[in-house]
Amino acid sequence: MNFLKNITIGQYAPGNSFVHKMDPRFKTLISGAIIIQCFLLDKWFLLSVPFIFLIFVSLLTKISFSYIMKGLKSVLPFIFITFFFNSILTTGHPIFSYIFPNEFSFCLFPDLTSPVIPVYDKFMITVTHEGIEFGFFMALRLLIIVLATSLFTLTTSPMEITDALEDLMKWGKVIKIPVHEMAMMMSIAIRFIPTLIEHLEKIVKAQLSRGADFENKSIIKKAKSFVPVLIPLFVNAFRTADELAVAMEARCYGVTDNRTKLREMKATWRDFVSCAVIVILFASLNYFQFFTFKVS
Amino acid sequence: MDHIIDISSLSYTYMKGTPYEKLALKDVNLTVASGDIVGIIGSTGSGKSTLVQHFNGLLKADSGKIIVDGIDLTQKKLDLKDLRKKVGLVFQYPEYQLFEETVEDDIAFAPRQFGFSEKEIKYSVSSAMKSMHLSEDMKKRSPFSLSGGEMRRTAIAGVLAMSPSVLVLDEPTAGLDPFSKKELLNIISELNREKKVTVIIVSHSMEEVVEIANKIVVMSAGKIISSGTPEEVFSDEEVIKSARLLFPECTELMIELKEAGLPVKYNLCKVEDCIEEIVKIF
Ligand SMILES: Nc1ncnc2c1ncn2[C@@H]1O[C@H](COP(=O)(O)OP(=O)(O)O)[C@@H](O)[C@H]1O
Ligand SMILES: [Mg+2]
Repeated sequence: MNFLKNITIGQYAPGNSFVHKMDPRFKTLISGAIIIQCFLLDKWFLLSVPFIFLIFVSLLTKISFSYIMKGLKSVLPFIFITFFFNSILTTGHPIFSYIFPNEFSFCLFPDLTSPVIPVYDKFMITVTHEGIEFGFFMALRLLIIVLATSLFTLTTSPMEITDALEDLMKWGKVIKIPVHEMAMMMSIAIRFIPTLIEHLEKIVKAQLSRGADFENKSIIKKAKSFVPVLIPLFVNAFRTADELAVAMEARCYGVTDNRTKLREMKATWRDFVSCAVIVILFASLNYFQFFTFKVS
Repeated sequence: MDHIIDISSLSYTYMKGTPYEKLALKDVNLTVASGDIVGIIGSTGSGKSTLVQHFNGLLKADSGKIIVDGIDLTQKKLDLKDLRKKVGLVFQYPEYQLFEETVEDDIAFAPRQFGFSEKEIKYSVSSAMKSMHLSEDMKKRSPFSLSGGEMRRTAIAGVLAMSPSVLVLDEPTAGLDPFSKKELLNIISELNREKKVTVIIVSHSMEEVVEIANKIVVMSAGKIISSGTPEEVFSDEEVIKSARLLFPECTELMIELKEAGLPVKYNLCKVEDCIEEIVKIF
């Protein structure tokens, strides 16, 4: 009865590395910049620069490679599918083609100066040179996005992310967005996930002891069998919320406008060095992108 | 076959195979005779709750053997429903499991799940409510409108209604006022006397356990370090100290009297026994 044992919240892997110690605000901005940058680049060999950079960062985090891969595993199928469909659905010079029912042709290095062949034709599957190139490009782009975000969440605790977002969104207060309240809600929600899971596990066990059966075949019966779990869970959640609200008010939450923080975020040399590296890297990438290899 | 529960070298680890692995029970041996009231005592985190969750198959032992009322819990094809009907488990703070609109419906949940007929359900609800000293007119009330003690008794009635032959209670008196505590303990021993239900009660109140149990099991760090009658268990100071427990108050008194040089037996636990012993020396 340990169906909840594999749930990890976020996927934060505590550590003490350069990346862990960085200011979460800078990590947020840098991850955002990497993602935006990889939409600006449209050559796969340019994209490989941020990719290699991220590989370097993942070495810096000192998190084991297999643990990082575990987080990526769930998106790998999408990456493969992206590659596959792009490679067969792009007009260009065919490398491999199959025409129904049994006609094959294969040419590893097609003559790129010859006229292109349209892909859609009868029952035909054509893998083109351009398709492979484009598929590889799209796959790499996806991989960078996923790797950047997972390196960010692996090295930044949910609380740090909340703090960083609150700080970065400070300007929102000017136009009456309740930034602080939203951040508080987010951190309370994060804080109570494990508590709720614990309650859930306890209630499930208690109802199992009373003969509850969650392995019904029919969907309706199955949904019904969760009522004895969900009602106590909600009752419990509301009670907890109520108690927490009272406890916060008892400690004068909301009396002053500008709360100070226990954990101040502070930019250090690590953040400035990282920023400098990113700026130099992206400036040169954009130079190549927009001046050397003109968009064709 | 007078042992209703027979456990030998049971071990259990939480979250096996993760960095959070936690060995909660090691090599536990325990037998419970039919009709006994067994008190399990031990400090917080000693594994009491983990142990009792093995009795009705909520947790599966990593190694060792458990036999409950002739059913081998380590076998492959285990009929969990049958087992859970036999062993009623009342969790700590059981009032958090109430969910129905009326007290009656909530108590009827277990009998309904175990396929009792409507007539049997009606009967078992009434008799469970009577056993838990809940008045008839509560039947139609919402369980959420009851007092803490009444909610607790309703929840226990919800387990009793399936007429288990073994009743396991995990810290049933935690958070109750002294009067409700006393009342609940009386109800439990009454059940044991009248319905011949075997009772296993987890607690960390020594006074409470010695009043009601005829056998005591002391747990510490996932192991059973002592077991026997209350008098046997509380005659070994070392064991009680190492389990980070205290003597019942009256035992404490007897020990002090003994140290003051009075000719008394010191390993008495029940208040009446102590009074008798003190009266004897005058
Ligand atoms: N669901 C769980 N996951 C991981 N560890 C647990 C879980 N439940 C209990 N433990 C650990 O197992 C040990 C025994 O816990 P428990 O049986 O609840 O003790 P007790 O009921 O005697 O206070 C404790 O150290 C506790 O931290
Ligand atoms: Mg416990």
